[in-house]
Amino acid sequence: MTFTDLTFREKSALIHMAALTLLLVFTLSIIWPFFSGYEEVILEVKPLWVAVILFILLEIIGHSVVAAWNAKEANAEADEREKIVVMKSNFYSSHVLGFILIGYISLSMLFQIPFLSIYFVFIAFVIAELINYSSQFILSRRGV
Amino acid sequence: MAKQIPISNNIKTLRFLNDEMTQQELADKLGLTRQTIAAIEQRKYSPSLEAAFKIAMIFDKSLEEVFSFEGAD
Repeated sequence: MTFTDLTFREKSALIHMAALTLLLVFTLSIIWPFFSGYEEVILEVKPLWVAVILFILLEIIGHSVVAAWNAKEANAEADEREKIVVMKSNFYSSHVLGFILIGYISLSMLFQIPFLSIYFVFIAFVIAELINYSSQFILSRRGV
Repeated sequence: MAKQIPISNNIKTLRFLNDEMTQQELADKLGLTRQTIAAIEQRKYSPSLEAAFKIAMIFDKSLEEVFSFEGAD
């Protein structure tokens, strides 16, 4: 299986996955000192917007290139199979997102953590999206 | 490993017998993508009832002549 064998939607899912992985790694590198015992570092506002801009650029450039390469497919509407793939992937990712957020809120209440870390919530959203696009890719290749 | 649905079909044979119709030609007639036709033929996707009837109509066959249920996999 090579990149050229993939359909437009599979290539698009791979671009989303690459961009989201970059965003996840960047965010984890920002909060890493927190886990290393330097709690005060997390209180400083770090430039997360750099990662967000890189993410947007990667998405725009990646999709523009792939859409130019597969113009016909890119303009076509999703058919019944593709809609089911997206629906199933959304179902999986929404469950993961709900599980992580409810778990985090429960732990926060249990251990009386007084604030909801924006980084943690952000990471939860990114992981959920990563699962969404990974599922789309796997379901497209393996079958719905 | 690719998941296989319990419904088999002979769309590939029927395409061949109908002037060697391509997957793209069949997809265009059905309003589906070529990848979806490939997925149906490889038993990776179970088409909707509407799509199944349309496929049977295109080949002028009954639904049972195109699709057959082989039980749970």
